Amino acid sequence: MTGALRGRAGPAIALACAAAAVVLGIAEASFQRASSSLGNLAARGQARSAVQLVMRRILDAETAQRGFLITGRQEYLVPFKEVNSDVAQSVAQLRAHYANDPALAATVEELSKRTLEKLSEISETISLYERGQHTVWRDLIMTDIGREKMEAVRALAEILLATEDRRVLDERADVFKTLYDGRIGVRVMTLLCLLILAIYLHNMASWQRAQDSHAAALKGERDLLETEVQQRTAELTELARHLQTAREDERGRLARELHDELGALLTAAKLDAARMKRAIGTSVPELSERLEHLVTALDQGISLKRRIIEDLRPSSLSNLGLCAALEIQTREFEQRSGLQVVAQIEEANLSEEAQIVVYRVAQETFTNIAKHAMARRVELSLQAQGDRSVLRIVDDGQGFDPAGLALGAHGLLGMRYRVESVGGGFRVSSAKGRGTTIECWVPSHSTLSAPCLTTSSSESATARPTKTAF
Amino acid sequence: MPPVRTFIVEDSPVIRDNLIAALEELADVQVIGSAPDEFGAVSWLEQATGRFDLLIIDIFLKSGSGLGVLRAAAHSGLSAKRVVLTNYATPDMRRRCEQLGADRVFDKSRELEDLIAYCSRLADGAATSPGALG
Repeated sequence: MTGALRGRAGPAIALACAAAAVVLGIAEASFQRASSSLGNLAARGQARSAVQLVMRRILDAETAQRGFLITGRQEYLVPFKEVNSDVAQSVAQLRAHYANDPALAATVEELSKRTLEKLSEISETISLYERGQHTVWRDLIMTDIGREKMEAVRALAEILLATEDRRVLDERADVFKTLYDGRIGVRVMTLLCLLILAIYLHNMASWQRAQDSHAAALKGERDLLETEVQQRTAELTELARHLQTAREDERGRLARELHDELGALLTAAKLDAARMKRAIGTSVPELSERLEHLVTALDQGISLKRRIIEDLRPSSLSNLGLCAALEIQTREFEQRSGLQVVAQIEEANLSEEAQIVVYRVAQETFTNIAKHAMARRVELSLQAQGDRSVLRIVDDGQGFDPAGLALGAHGLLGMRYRVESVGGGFRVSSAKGRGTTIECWVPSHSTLSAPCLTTSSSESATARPTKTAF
Repeated sequence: MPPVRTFIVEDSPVIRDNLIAALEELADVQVIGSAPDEFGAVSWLEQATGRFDLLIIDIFLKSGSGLGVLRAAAHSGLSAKRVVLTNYATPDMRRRCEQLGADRVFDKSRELEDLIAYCSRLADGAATSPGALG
């Protein structure tokens, strides 16, 4: 699932990285362009200052000249002395600034030339004044040469300043454009990023939905299977119960028929034999012998019939009820096995089916005890507990490890099936060296079964001198 | 000696008819009645008038049980002998029957001749206890 997630996220992550790189690139380019434009703006400011300084110094020089020529005082000339170096410095600055611009570089040279001419005109007049040639410097000034030169310098300075102004405007526009472009780019890329994110989320959601529906389908299938298994199990249990019942019914019918029909016939035959024996007497020894042989054969047939009947369905159970049948079975087991067997049997109100089940469980358990348990003492009890009867058989034998016992071993699974088929429960508890306890309960019948012919232990003291614990 | 007046409790008609025929032929027995179930037998016992000497009881009946008949017979204080003729003559069953007042218990198949002999002795007025029967 995480692999699939990563596989799905891959293209989206690549897109997001690309978008981030583009945004970064746009921002960086905008910065670079804006920063270079701002650098240019600073340089242009310095160029403008240089031009203005040249203009100011020229005006300073002219003002100093006028003041000196009118008053003749030397202190007016003080500013003039620094003019030359300032102008030279500014011109050098301008030359450097316009090194890559031949047209404007020429203008700078022209400005420099005109400025020097103006300054030399001023120096000339001052020099004439100091030499006392007052007429000459006055004529010189009156020729308007100074004014013309001044105009030329101003015009050149105006050209430079105007150019710079125009270029500053252009570059400012450029910076705004750069910033604007950057802004648009970032907006577009941000929108793009959001779009990618939305697509990614959408894909994730649909993938999750697909996963969910897949899981739901799986669960549905599993539930269906489980239901089917439960249904099949119920059917099998029902079938097992049906087969069990059918088998017991069939055995019961067979036993009854054998008992009623065959038994009666054999008894009648025996009676006939007795009558024939009396009739023949001892007169015909040969016939007597044949008759004896016939009687022996009849006896063998009767024994066989009884064995089969008892095996099919204990006659004590069908004729005397569960309590008596259990008691008889217990006593017979005690005599057969030589073990000490204690029984406490209460009257049980059970359906015929349940009676057979309880009887068979006891029979099977006794067989197991005789074969495997190596016990010395066995306790059997049948007790009514609410709406059920509980059969419990405890031995003190060697026990076994229930987990290590193969399914169906010792008929335990068969017993469980029998008990469950009548709606009861079955439990075996045992451990090595700790004996074994078999417990089964079956639901009580709604109508009372035939009452026990043998009395329970509480009655035995008064009704009969025997004890039920034997 | 008068014949042994006998009442039979037996649910199988085949056995009942053959038994009556055999007893009446081989011993001096007169069967005065029979019942196929516990209820019929007990009712007959309650209304029994006149003398009767022997009660032959099968344990497994159509309904009810021969043990119930034995119990009823014991309660009514009859002087008649009570014998059980059963297919289920286990030691435990013999003990039960004797506790309920049965004089003898015969296996329906293997001890028929003993029953006939017992009836003959009753008719003769001879000893009928197990020991005396030899």
